[in-house]
Order: sequence, then C-alpha cells, then structure tokens
Amino acid sequence: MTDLIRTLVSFAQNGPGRNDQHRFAYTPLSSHTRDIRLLALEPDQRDDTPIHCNLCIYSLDANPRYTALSYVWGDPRADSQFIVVNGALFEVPTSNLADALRHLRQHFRRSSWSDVPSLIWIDFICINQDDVAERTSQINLLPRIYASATYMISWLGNGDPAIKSAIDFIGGVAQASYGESPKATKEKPRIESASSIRHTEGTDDQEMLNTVVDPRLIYLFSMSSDIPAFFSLAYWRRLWIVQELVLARPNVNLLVYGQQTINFRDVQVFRDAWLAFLKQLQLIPEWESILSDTPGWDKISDSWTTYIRQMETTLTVWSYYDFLRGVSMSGDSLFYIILGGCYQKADSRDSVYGLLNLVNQTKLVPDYRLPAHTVYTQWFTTVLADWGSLEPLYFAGSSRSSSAYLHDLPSWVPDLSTEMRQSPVWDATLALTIEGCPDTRSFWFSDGTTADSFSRIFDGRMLQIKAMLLDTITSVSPLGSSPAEASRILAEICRACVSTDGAGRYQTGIPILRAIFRALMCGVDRFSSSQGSSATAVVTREYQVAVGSNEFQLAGSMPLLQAVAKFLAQRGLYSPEATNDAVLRALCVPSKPLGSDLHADARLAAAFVALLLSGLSPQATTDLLRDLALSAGPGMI
Amino acid sequence: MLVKTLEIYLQAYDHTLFFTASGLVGNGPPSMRAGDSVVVFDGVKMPFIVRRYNVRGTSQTDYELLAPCYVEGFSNGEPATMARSSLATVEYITLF
Repeated sequence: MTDLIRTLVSFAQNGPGRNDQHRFAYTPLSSHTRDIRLLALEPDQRDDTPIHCNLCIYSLDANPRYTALSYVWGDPRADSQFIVVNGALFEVPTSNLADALRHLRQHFRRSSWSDVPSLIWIDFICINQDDVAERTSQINLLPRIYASATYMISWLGNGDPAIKSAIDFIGGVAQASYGESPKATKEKPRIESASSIRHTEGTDDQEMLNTVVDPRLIYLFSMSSDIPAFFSLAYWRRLWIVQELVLARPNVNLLVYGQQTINFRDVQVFRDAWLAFLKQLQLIPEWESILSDTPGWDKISDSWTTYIRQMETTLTVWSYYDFLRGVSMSGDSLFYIILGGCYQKADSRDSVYGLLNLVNQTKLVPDYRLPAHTVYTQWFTTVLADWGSLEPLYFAGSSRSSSAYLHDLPSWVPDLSTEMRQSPVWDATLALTIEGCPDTRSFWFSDGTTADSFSRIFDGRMLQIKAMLLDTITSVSPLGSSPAEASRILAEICRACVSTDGAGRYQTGIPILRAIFRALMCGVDRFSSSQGSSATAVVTREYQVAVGSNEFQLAGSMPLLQAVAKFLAQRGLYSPEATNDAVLRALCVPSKPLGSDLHADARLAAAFVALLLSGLSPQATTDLLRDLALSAGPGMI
Repeated sequence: MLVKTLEIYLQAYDHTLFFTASGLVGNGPPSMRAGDSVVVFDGVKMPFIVRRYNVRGTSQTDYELLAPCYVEGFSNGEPATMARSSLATVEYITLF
C-alpha cells in the first residue's frame, strides 16, 4: 500500500508521461512458445480502493485454470484510468475495463463464484500492445486462449436500470423454462385458457377457449419492456466480440452486468421461450381487442408493435452467435468475413483480421502496416483461389456498399468497411444457386474449372477474367423509393412497350409485359413464403422464420445471413438438418422461382397490374391483363 | 394485400429496370446508366453490370464491376450455351 501511495503521489506530482520509472514495463514473452500472461486480481474488502493485480507468465501447455474476459474496448482516450500491475502504474484506456475489474473483484468474493478462477486473461493487459511482433503472435494464440479458458466472462457494462431489470426477467423466464421450481411454474410465460378474466357473451365455447388471456400476461409485458435494451447492448454488435463468443464454450460463458450474472445458455433458452410466447399471443384471434379491456393494457398497447419489431431485429443479430457456433469451422473465410460487415469495428482492417481465427486454413497473416484496401484484396484473392469459381463476386461490385466505397479498393473486391446494400438480385442469385439450377456445368463456357484457367490477378489489384460481353445498356429506369412513383414509371414503361411492339412478345416468346414483371421480381416468387396468411405477407426485408413449430418474421440484415447460410449449405459445410436451431433451419427454406407454380404467378401478376391501374385507362388495363395471359377476377388481388 | 406486399417490395430495394440494345430487359443496381455493359463470367450464374474505362494514353480498356444483375431469359446458362456453340465471343477482360 505504501508503494502504491508513493507511486500515486509521484504520479500526481509529475503527471502522466513525464515520469516513466513507475510505469509498468512488460517482461518479454519468449517467442515460438505458447506462453501467455495471466492477471491475478488481488482481493480487497473495500470497493473504492485502487485495483491491484499481478501479471505472471504461464504456458498454455501446462493447462492453467483461468478466466478469459471479453468486453468492449470502447472509445480510446475517452476516459482512461490507472490500475496497479506488479506494483507499477498501468493505464487502461477506457473506464469500462477498470469498471469490469472493480466488479469482478466483488464477484470473486462470492461463494457462488468459488469455481471461477481469479486468474484472468484480458487482451489489453496480457498482451503488450506496443510490441507489434508480440501482438501478432498472441493473436494467433487467441483461438486456444478462448477455447481452453475454464470460464469466459462477458462484461456487458454497468448501471442502466432497464438492463438490470431485463437480466432479472431473462433469468426468471429461463429458470421457468427449465421447469423445475414452483416459482418457475408461476412465472412461466404461457396462456392459460382456464383462468378466464373476461366472460364473452355470444361466442361459442371453442372461441372462448382461444380468446381468454391470463391477466398475469399483462404483468409479464410490463416487466419485459426492457428486454430490447439488453439485446441492443453495444457488446453484441462489436466485431472483436464475435470470435470470442464463438470460440468460448457457451456453458462456461458467464454474462456479467454490474452485480448481476447470467449464463449465456439462459439467454438462449430465454430467446426460444420468449419467441414462442409472443407467437402464442399473436395466434389468439383478435387478441388486441381482448387485451384492450384488460386493466393496465393501455399503458403498453401503443408500444406493442414497436416492441415486437424491436425484439425481432435485435434477436436476429444476436442469433448470429448461434449460427457461427453451429457451422463447421473447416469453412471458408468468406462467410465469417462477409458477416463481419454487420458488426462495429474501430479499424476497418478488423473486418478481416478480427475473424481470421475462426478460419482453419488460411494463408493470411495479420499485418496492420497494410492499408484496408490491400487487406481486403489479399483476403478476397485467397477466397477466389479456394472457391474454384468466381461466384463470390456476387458480394463485390462498387454498387454493393451503402455509402462511399472504400478508397482505392478494386471494384471486384467486397467492401467490408460498411454494411452491404441489399439487392433484389440477391434473392434471385440465391434461388438460382441453391434451388433453381440442376446443372452447374451449363454455366461454363469452357472445360477448365481451375481458378487459373478463367481468371488471373496481377499487379495485386487487377483481375483478368474470362467473360462474354453480352450487350450494351440503352435505357435505365430507376423506380425510386416511393411506390406511387414506382407505379407511375412502371406504367410508362409498360405503355411504351405495348405501343412500340405490336406483337408484344419478348425474345423468349413470353408477352413483353410478363418479361418486365419477371425482371421486376428477378425471376423469384417472393410471395410464396406468405401463402395462407395475408397478415404475414412478407417480401425481402422481412423473413419468415420458424422457432420450434412457430413462425416469425425477422427483419433487418436477415438476407445477408440467409445468403451465407445458403452458400454454406451449398458447399456442404452447414447442414440445416443437423442443427437444433430452428431459426437457422428456416433460413434455408427455398424460395420458388417464377414459373414453377402458375397459380402463384397469376396472383403475383394480378398484383402487378393492380399497382399500375392508377396510371392506366380501362382499355389499357384489359390489354395488360391479356398480355400477361391473365383473367384475374376481383378475388385474386 | 398482394398489392400492399408489392409496394413493400418496391420500397425495400433499389430497383432499376433496364433495356439493352438487343431488347433484353433486366433489373440492376441503382448506379448503372446507359452505356454500361451486361457481362457474363465463366461459370458464374448471374450476369453483372460493368462500366468500361479507357486506360489513359493506351488503347487498353479496363472495367469497373458495379453489381450482379438479373436479365430475363438468362437464368439457365443460355449465354454459356451460346459461347460453347461459338455464337458469342469469349474474351479476357480486366477488372480494376
């Protein structure tokens, strides 16, 4: 303690950076070994004393028992703090890490934590961040460090009452779902048809059974409004966290928020139970009008829709962890790294380097001296070489990123610095890649199928490629983002086509309007997933997803995950049947190419006509219907 | 409801319908414009939109890759069939 005071006084007098003698200095790790440093956190009965710890070198080969810490680095320099390591001052760049250590020190005092080793591995402290060579060699050890940790603690932060309450709720529901304790049964979210809260007159018994809601549900709802906050935590969206969560074993993954602790497994269990519960509610006919008579409902009814949507969006991103843990590790770097675009990173090179440890075989070695565009190009060069065809180019193109394309990046390399723009062509691509094409050979011009025979990369950034220049674009009609505008432009195009071409036939022999309609749909029937229920009719941004026997719509970046899931399935690296996760299984459900179901096509085409009606005369409408080979009754639309 | 769904579909994505010199119709990226080309790569199922650039001071032509596109009637390997029966020319192009 006196040492510390002396150190602190000296520090206070001299200020940071002026006196380095009390600053912590690393003992170098011997290279070419599996040595790591581990931090022993010294216990302290008081919470406000400075954090003391000792850093020692251990060999991973000796199987030390330790806890790996996973946390968000946060904004460097925002709020740095000092801790004491081996009696010397050590600057931790964000208050988040110091806060984590302070709370962990308290947790370690608890008897329930007696099994959790207080030797901790923390990337920022255990790796000498100023030693580039050490950083590089330790990054290669990361998979082992996370996989052989006795426990992994995910530090989620501290202080937000909404998240505290969410964690209590999640823990309660998870415990209830395990179905053991009497308390659990009471809290278990389900709809009890027996305990009627409302006596409906003039309805038959069956409907009665379907429309009675337990008043405790209202309580559950009011309790659960904080849940989206939990799933929206910055922690879940950070790129470097992905590999940590994927590499660690879920059953030893503790999530810590301030004083609270919850198991990763519990969150998975909660997610499944909660989705099932929400679905049950949605299945009750006219549930909303029933609930509206229930005391307390008015307080939450407004936010209901928002709530459901928010839940779905946040759970989608969260489900990536299950996905990544479920897929085979022998896979290509393509998938991990494309998905990495959805995560937040401080350094755009991390899109590749942050996930490299999840890839078994790679020739890439992290080198932070290289600019991002070079890192992406090197990575994609290996992807193309490994893939055996140029199909990964679907992810590339200067139109694929949502904002400015990364400077100096070749157009044939995917821009991983921003989230990829969704495109209707995706779906057609996927449908064609996975379901629509029985014979891949029919897409080859030549017999050669080795990468060298159809492409060559030179000067590090030029891709020479065997190609057929088909045609030149003569006119372009962007449809805009408003349906009214799109409808007007579509009507114009259709009118022009019908008037200039008397026969009204496209090259393939189908009516020209049908060809335009198919082009608009990119050849895929996007309505087939919504068969049977008009209320859940979905296209593109929302996907129908099954959890157990229940179906949900998931929004947001689902198409990207779907693309990855399908490509994996195609490569035999991911078997939807083998996984227990119904969310992922549902992602591989095929979408129907247009032309496979005439009735479905007709319904779609009728909708297409209806959309154009406002801009067309009755005669033109009749012509349209004729050209689409439709005799649509009013019931079809 | 179908109309509503179609509207959602139109809103959710950028749609750019295009026509080519030989009368093909397709759906492509928002950044495409007249003068761009539709190109098919060996072994790749979907066509792409590319933009041609002349390399300064030479007669060489390089291409920028914009994005994959959908061309009606070209989903089952028709271009490759044309290439194999020498109805179309296959060449090496350079993407930058």
